[in-house]
Amino acid sequence: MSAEVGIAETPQQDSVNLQAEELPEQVVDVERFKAVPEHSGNLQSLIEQYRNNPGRCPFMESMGKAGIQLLQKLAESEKNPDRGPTIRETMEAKKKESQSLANAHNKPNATKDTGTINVKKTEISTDEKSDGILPSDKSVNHLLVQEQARRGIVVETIDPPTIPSDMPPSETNEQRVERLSEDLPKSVIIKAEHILHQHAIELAESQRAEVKQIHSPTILASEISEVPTITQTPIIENILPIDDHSKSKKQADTVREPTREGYARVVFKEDNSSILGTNDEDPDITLQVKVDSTEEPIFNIDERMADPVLDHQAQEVSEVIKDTNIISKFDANQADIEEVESDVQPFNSKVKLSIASDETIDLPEQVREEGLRFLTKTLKQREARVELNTYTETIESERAEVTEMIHQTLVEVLEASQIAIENGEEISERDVKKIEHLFVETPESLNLDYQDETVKKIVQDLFSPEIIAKITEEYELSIDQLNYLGTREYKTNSVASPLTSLVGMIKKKIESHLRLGKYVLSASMA
Amino acid sequence: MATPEHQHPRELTSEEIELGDYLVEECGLQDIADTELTMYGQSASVRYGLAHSGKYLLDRTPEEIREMVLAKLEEQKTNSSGESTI
Repeated sequence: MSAEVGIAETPQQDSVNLQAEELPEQVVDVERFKAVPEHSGNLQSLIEQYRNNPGRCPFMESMGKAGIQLLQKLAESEKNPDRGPTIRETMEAKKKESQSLANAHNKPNATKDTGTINVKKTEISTDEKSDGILPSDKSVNHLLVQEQARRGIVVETIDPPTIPSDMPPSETNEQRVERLSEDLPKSVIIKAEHILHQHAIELAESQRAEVKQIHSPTILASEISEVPTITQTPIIENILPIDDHSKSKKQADTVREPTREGYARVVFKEDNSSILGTNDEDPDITLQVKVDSTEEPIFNIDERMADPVLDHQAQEVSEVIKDTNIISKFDANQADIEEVESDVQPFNSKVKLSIASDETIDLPEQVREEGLRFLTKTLKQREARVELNTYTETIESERAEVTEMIHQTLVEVLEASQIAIENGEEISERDVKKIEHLFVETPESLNLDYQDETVKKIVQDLFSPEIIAKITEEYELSIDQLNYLGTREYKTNSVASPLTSLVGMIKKKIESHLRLGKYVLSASMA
Repeated sequence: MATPEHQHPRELTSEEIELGDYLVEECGLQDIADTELTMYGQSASVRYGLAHSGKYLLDRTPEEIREMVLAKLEEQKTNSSGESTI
C-alpha cells in the first residue's frame, strides 16, 4: 500500500483536480482551497494553505480521487459534535496521565482522594500556536474540565510554587549541574563483583569519584548517598597523568586507604603500555597486566583516544586505563591465576594477565571471570567496530547506514539474550533457535525473494562475507543457517516461553530498521 | 515496479519512526501493517507512511486515520496497474 499520505506518486493534476460538482461547497470551499500555498495542521488550514495548488496537498497527492472523498468525510467529521479525541489530544492526555502517576509516585504520603483535586493554574499563552506536534493547553484543559464534570469532581486551583529567593533566577543548566555536583559523594562504594564491570566504572566516572571494592553485604551501590565517605580525597588528586609517570607513581604511592585484615589492595596505573597492580599490605602479591613488548607496539593511547571511529565503549576502556585509579580489596583463599592470554588484533599486540607461580592473589572467581570477560568482550567489540567501519567505507552511504543498523541490531539481540541468561531465565534450545532465527529473518523481513539473482547479489553484498563471518564467529551460527538467508518462510512462534516477550521486544525494536533497509534495497534494485 | 524516484524514501527521523509506530498502535492498524507488506511486496508500508506523514495527522482521530488508510488501500487495490504509489 501505502498509507503514504505524505509523499506519493507524482501529482497528476487531472486526477486530483477539484471539480466543483465533486465537492459540495458546504464541505470544501474550492476557491479558498486554491488560494493558499502551504499546508500544516488541521483540515481547515489544509484547505486554506493548498487552495493555490490542491494537487500538492499531501492527502490529494497520495490518494487521488479517493482523497477528494476523504476530504469530504474528514470535513464532516470535524463538524461532528461527538467526534472523539484526536491523536494530539490523546497524546497530551497520556502525557498528563503519566505525569500525574509520576507525581503520585513521588508523593506516597499524599492524602486520600476526597473528591477535590488541586490543579496547578496554567497560563494560556496568547501566542499558543502549536509547533504542529503538541496540542494547545486550551484543548487539553477543555478535555480535563469535561472529564472532571463527568466524574463530578470539584476543581480547586492553587497558585504555582514560587521560586525561592536565594535561587539565582537565571541559573543555567550547566550552573545547576555544577551546583548540585558539589553535593556528590567523593567516594563510591561498589560491590566486589561489580568492580570491573563497565557500569561501575561509568558510575564512578560520572561521580568523579574514586572506585573502591569491598565485600560488605550491607553496602550497595544503590546506597551510595547513605554511605559515609571513607576517603575525602577527591579523585582529581589520584588521577594518574600519563605524561608524567614519575609523578603518577608518587601519587599512586600516596594512596592510603583504611584496610582490613585479609584484604589486599591492587592499584592499577597506566605506564605507557603497561598496567601494574601491587598489594601494599602484602608486597609479595603482584597482579600484572602488560602488553607483550616483543612485538612492536603500534597502539598509542592518545591516538586511540583521538580516533573518531572509536565508539564510546572503546574510548571508555582507554579512559579507564588512562585515568582511573582503582583501589580494590579482594578476598583471600582463592586459586592462583595462571596466565590468560588473548589476541588483540587491532593493536597487533597481546595482553597478558600473569602472576608468578609463587604469587597468589585472592581474586574471587566471579570477579576474575567477570573482569576477563569484560576486557575480552570490550576488545572484541572494538575490533569488530574497526572492521565494520573499514567495510562500510567501501559501500554507498545509504547501504552503509543500513548495514550499520542491522549489525547493531544483531549485537543488541545477542546482548539481550545474554542478559536474559545472566538473569537466570530458563532458556530452552527452542528459545535459542528463536533468537537465531531472528538473524535469519532479517533479510527475509525485507520481503525479498532471495532466489532473484539481483536480490541475492544485493543481500550478499549487504551481508558481506566479512560480516557474515563476523556474525558466525560471534553468534556461533552455522554457515548452513546463514546460507538460509531469505530462502524460507519463518514465523516466530508466539507460544509463551521465557523469551517470548524478549523476542517480541526485539522484533519491535528492529522493525523500523528493517523497513528502512527494505526501502534502501528496493532503491538499489531500481 | 514503482519508479526509482518513488522508491527512494527520504530518511525518517527517530521521532517520525516513533510517531509512526504510535499511530499504528493507536489506530489499531497492526494487522494491516503486518499483512500489507505481503500484499504489496516492495511498495510502501503503512508504518512508513504514517511515520512520514504523522505530523499531518495529529489533528485527526484514530478512526479517521484508520479510514484514510483503508481508503488508500482500497485505492491501491483498484489501481489497474497495481504499481506502488511510493
